[in-house]
Amino acid sequence: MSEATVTIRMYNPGFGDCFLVTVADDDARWRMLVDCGVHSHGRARVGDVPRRIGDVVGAVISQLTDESDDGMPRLDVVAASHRHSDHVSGFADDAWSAVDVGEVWVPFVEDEQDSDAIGLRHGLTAAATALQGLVEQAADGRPVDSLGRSMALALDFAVNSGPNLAAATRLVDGGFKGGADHHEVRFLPRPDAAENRVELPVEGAVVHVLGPSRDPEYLKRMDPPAAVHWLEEAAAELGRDEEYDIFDRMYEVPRDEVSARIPVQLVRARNAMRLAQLALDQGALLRAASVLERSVNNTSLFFVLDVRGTRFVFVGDSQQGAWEHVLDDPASRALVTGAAFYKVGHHGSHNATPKPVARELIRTGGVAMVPVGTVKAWQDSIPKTEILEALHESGAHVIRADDPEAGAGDDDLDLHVGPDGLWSEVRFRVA
Amino acid sequence: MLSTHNVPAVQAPDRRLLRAFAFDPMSSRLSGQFLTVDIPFEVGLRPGPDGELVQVVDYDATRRRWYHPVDLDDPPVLAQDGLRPSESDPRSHQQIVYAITMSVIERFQRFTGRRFRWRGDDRLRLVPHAFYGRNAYFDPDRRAVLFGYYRADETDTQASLPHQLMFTCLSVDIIAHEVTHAIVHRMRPLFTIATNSDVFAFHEAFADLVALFHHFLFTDIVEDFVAGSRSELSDATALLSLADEFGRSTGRGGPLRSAVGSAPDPADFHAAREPHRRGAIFVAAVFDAYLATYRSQIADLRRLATGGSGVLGDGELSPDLVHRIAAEAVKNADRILGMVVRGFDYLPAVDVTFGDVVRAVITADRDLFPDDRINLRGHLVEALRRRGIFPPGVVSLADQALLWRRPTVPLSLTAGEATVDLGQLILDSTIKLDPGASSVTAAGNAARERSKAVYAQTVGWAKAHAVELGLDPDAGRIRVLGMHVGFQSAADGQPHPRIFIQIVQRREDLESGADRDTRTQLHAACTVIANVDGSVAWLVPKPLPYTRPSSFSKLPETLRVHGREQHAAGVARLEAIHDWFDEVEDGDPLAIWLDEPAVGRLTFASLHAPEED
Repeated sequence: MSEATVTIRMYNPGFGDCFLVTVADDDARWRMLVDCGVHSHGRARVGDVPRRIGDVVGAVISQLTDESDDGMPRLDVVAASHRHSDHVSGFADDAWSAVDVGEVWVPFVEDEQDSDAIGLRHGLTAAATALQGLVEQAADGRPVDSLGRSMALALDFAVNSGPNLAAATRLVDGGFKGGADHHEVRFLPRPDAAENRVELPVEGAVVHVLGPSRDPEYLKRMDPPAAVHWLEEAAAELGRDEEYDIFDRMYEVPRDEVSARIPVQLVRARNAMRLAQLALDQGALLRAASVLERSVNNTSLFFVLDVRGTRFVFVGDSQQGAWEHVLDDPASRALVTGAAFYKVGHHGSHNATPKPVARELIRTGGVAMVPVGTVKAWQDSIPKTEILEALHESGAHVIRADDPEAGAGDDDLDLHVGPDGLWSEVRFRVA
Repeated sequence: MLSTHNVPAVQAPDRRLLRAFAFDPMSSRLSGQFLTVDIPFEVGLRPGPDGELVQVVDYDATRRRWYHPVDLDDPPVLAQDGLRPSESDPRSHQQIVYAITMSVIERFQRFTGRRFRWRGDDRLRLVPHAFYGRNAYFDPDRRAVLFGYYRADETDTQASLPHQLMFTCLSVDIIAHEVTHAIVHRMRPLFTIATNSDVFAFHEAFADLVALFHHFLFTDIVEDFVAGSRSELSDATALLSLADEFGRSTGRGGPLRSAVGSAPDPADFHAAREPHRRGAIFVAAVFDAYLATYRSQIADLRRLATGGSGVLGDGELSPDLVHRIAAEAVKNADRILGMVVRGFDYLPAVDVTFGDVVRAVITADRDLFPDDRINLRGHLVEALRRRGIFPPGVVSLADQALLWRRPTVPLSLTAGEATVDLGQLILDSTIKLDPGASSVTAAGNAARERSKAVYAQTVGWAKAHAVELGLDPDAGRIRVLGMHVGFQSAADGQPHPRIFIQIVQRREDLESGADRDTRTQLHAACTVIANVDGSVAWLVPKPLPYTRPSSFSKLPETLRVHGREQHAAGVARLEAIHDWFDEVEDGDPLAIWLDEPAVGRLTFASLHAPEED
């Protein structure tokens, strides 16, 4: 058996994920792209110019072309961890139609035929749509930023969780290699556990798919029906005719008679309460939006690439809940701890890497890659310093997409950084 | 204004009767009954209603319009016990929120033996149609209870028509629940800081207990339930259903009443982490105690009614029997709720746990009813034990083990190095108790000045005895959060005056976060309960770690030991608070996006929000 190498290249689109993984030995080579997207507010900057996701797509494809024997860019697998824009927006780019893709892996919740998934997917989409509608109605034509920080954030969540149609169509319905050949789509994990262990062409290489969970209890927790219900109801009510009355007109005080009819101390009380702000409960809206954001994150594909016992962990944006499901199972837990590589979940945010296991995830000398670009609004909270410190203290190299050299340390880490910091790449050798 | 037609003028009545739904529009329709709420007659009540304690502001923020405010002193309104409740007349909604709120406040006054006042000249605002939404909540910042209205859907069992408008302000349960939040907030303002999983759970459970027992304030309704039940009286099914039915149908009491009437299991409470679940178990335990008391109190009636056989004859219950049994049901509901509410003044000022609640209720009750003649306390302790609620570390459930702590050395507010002039405090509290006293005498400028001086003296006293009180003489500013005299009725029927003082010390040195105004505040605190002669009866300390525990060595032997204990308790408490903050942070989907601590986002509105159900 010849020595195998595992090469992981992290592109830097900004606040978003894009990883090219290559497993090879003398006899075979296997390539996978995990995600390709950027958050609309978080594009990386080259000098003063924001990097376009198309630049990243172009760089990935040209790399694939260069490595190809016949000039045809090829990927064995494209894995889209979950439907958020910062993971899939790049797949909307038509340049992908030139690429030959063997299989697409997406979480089972995207499977239109999967009965476990229908309710959840519908709920998430409906919530995102209602949420977006509510925020836009509240803004009433003005920029949403003028409503304040919480509404802008709520809108971000809604847009991020929206259908991302163009990307989804390419991934699920076919759109690589011009759509001529319908590629294989795997909705993972499968109900049959045996199908969640995927053998790769390189000897001794296998992928274990651990999540998202299909456990009905877990799905129930992820499905935010109450929030959806409330959002849809509120959206419907806001859309009703302004003049629609809840009581007979004779009980209402005509607007021009308020000062004559309503005692002044009641008017003062109303003013003191700032009741006008109640019409749309912004706090509740933001809470619902954040529940939605977390629910979608927790549909992330969670898998471990295992090459002859050396393990590489990809978690998408799994947050608390999704992690619990993995860690509660001893066999899965053994797979994700002591790994050689960990793709840090959700751009290094709090509760996307459970604190109690942060120190056990990576073996000494291993690598954690953090796909993060600073977004001003969240610069103090994402990535979470404590998480990165815990990973670092456990003996891992912590490589940030926006500053790869800083985490390399001075030992023999095999790290390369592309021009303008477009990518950073680590190579592992496995005997 | 009241009419002055008669010569000589007829005096205003003492009481005002107002009608409300029993207990919401749907059940009122089914039973054909209204409640008649009996509340004090406020002279000078203005349209709104706009009174001395509450102000109804009927402005609809969603539709941006006012509804005409009701004048309850209008003779046609006065002559028929208020407007007939109607879903389509907003003025009857204003009347209902006013009536139920006043009846809840009056009940509190009776239990705590003092006149209720909001802070300063503030009044509680009630907004019956505040916004479109399936929610109603107390908002401490707006000092208001905001009621939403919403359109019914297929899942709303209490709606009679699809898409009918539902008004949260018409449910007695919801009003009583939310107003109790406001009262709790008045008496313990720092219970809005959730420093452990029980703080909000207690807020919720207490609010729901008051709402639940409010059903038992109305004798004629209870009579109907007793007469209609036709069950063996001792199994109390009727009372259970009275407690249960309305709570479920309004959705407000639902989760908190989920355990009422269930079989108790001590392991449940220990295992429960989620606030609503812990609250529900507490509510269930208090209701168990009520049923036990009720059963023992009607045993004689049952023997009389069955000729000693315990088996009721066929046919309807005798109206006399129904009347007597219902009276017992009402009286004992008042006793049990009264016992729990009286314990309120014995609670710590911050960081309350259900274990503290048990100690507070037992200490208060033992102060007033040392003999526990009808075994009320015994029933409550037993009911709590059966559901696993008792303070951690107690080895016995005898009164002695559950009482709060006495001072280590005799301690007095009126003797020693710093003293407090209690005379003024007692006089002012007494004047406030007199319903005839004008509000100017009761809370005028002079009274306010006097109370300021007393507060300042008390701060001095607290500083002089800081270690004894579990406070740190070398850390943040010590202040008096509240101080009053309660005249609760004791076993001998006499008022039993006690002084209740809440002393707090914010510990900014232990807080984390950059902005001192928005970060979560940490307080050490002590509730002091003293006799009117100044001698301190009980101390309820909530210490935090001392900045200089080494300085204890200069203290006399007993205080030195005490100080070390307080420091150790403070260290343990701070650690528990940090664990809890982490737990909240992990569970909050917004925690990753915002810098502000997640604990600060736990509010009454978010607790009641529909997505949390």
